[in-house]
Amino acid sequence: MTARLRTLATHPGLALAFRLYLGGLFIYASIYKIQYPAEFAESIAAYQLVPHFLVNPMAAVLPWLELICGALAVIGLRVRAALVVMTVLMALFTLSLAWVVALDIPIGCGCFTGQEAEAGPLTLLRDLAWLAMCLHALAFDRLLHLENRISWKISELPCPPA
Amino acid sequence: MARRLLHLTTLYETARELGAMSSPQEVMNAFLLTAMGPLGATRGFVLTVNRFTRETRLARRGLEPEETAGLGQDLDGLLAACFPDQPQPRFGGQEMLALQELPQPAPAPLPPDTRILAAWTARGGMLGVLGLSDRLDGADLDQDDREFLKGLAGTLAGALKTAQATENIRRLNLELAAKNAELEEAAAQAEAARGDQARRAYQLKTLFDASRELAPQTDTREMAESFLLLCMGALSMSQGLVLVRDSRSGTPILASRGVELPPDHALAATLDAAFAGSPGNPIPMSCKVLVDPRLLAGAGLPFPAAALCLFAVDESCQGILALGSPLTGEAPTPDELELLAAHASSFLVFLGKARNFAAAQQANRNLAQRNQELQQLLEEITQCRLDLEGEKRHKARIISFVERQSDRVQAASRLDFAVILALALLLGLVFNASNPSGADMVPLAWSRPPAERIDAGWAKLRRDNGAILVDARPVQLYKQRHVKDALNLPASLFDFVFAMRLARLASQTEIVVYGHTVSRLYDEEVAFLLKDRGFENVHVMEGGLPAWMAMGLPVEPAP
Repeated sequence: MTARLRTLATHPGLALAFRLYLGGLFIYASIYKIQYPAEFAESIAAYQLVPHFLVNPMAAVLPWLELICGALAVIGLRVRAALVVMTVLMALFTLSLAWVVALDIPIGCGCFTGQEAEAGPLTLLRDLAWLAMCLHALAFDRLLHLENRISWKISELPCPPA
Repeated sequence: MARRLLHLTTLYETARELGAMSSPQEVMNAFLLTAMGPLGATRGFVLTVNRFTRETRLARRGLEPEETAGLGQDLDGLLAACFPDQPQPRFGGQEMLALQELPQPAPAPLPPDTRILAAWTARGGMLGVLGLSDRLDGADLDQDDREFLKGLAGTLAGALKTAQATENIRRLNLELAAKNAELEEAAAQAEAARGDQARRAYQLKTLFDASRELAPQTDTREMAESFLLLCMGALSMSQGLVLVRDSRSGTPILASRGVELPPDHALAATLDAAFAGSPGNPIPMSCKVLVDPRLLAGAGLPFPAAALCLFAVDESCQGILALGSPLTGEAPTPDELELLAAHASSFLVFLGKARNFAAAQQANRNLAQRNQELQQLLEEITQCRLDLEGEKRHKARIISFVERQSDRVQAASRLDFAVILALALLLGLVFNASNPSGADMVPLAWSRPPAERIDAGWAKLRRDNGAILVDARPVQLYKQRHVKDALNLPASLFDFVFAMRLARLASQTEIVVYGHTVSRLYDEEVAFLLKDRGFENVHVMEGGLPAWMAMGLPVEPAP
């Protein structure tokens, strides 16, 4: 039973589902922010973590990073790198959120749009869940990678017994 | 008296006469005459029978053969007639004598007219009977006659014994002579056998020597030479030739002595002719000796042969031995021919052995070569296997390399991150530059003249003197805590709030702006906007709200 649960929990299919979900999530999150970088810059500034001269460049670049990584994760190209970046981003977001919640800074999280409810513990839990999904995908995802097409060819080679 | 004298004289003469005789039959014939005369009998017989051997002797006078025929046949009847008182007379030891006058007719098997019968027994189962009949005077026997007859019978018995003994001695002599002759013959045969044996021994010794000489040889040519010399020596010949054709080895073997050799093709023809001329080729492992001059002449030999021996080891190996010009000048004897055949048989055995040896050697050589080839093949296979293992290792290495590369391809690399970041940077900057609502990449504060800065204490003094305190932070932060009575004027709402609260103030009105974070210089921005609207005395309170609070100045809501 435990073995079945473990098999289910570590199943590559689950990791694929997480990967596709997170990819879609990142794409969705990036769209609005790409359109309104100034607004997103305010959200970043609200966290009071980034030096003032970096806030605007970050607001311009970060959504694109989300979009690229999300797209790569969805289409299955350079998935590992995309997942690593996504995990790092998600970890940063979560830490920032935790910082804000801990300091009780009254801001919206700025995760998707500029007009959001004030960030709180629930937002932090949601981000933690997404972070867990990222880590799971990073650990167990191996399906539907475009590079695997090459790997499949290699696995067809008659390998000598070890 | 005269009769007695006659009887005695007769007895004496009889004894003397009979004693000189050696044959029992003669004794009996003489005795019968002697006995008949004095007794006046005209007919009579003397019979001796050996009871055990049934040997019968008979002498008769005046009797027909048929009258005496039953005498020798019916021994029991004769005994009963001769010894009526003793039906089973004894024949050993004591001799018996019976004398009787028989009634007429006499009992069978005696002749019917037998009148006087004298019978006696002697040692060795001998029975003697004297029968007389038809006395001239017809008178009975008186005492003298009886004595005379007894004497006669005794004399006859003695003479017969003597004669029998003599005859036995003569017979023994004859037998001895025959034995001697047989012995002489046997001695002659033994002598002949010894000679034969010696000849056999010589032949066997010759054969043994030949075998000893041929046995260690393995070269067929040397064997043929030895064989030729042996046969020439055994038959005392001065010319000889051995030719063996072996289709297995191909080359014919030729050995000759005292012969001018013809060329090879003629030899082959000779061999063919010799075998063709003989009636029936020799069967394998046998030989045939020919001495018929006609056949020898037809063999086409290079010299006049006296004996030709055809032999064959098997169908593939046949040969001839030809011998000629005997040293003695005589044709070979059957013994010599027999010896020749024996030599040839022996040679055949050793030739076969040598051929087998050669075949075995060849087989060994083939085997050795085969082994060599196999060894080489084995080495090649080993090398191939090593090569194969090397290839396998190479292949495994290549595959692992490719797999490593594949894994590396799948794994996240620095290049990936660099590309992703560069792409995001490029796209973000370009898009932001082209976006109407894009953000400024360089802080505006860097390109504006900095506002005059005052500390929190001076700021309080200015406020106390009528200066307006402006909180430039966003509304949420203002609501959270701000300087008491400060005006909230975030940059995003500047125009609206300015129009409502500051538009009617004089341009000399002193304004102190505060509020910034690490991420935003709200105070600098708002100070710039106020100056831009014409206010001349705009200051920025250094340290912001924390500095104000640090001096214990009033804030709302109170902490």
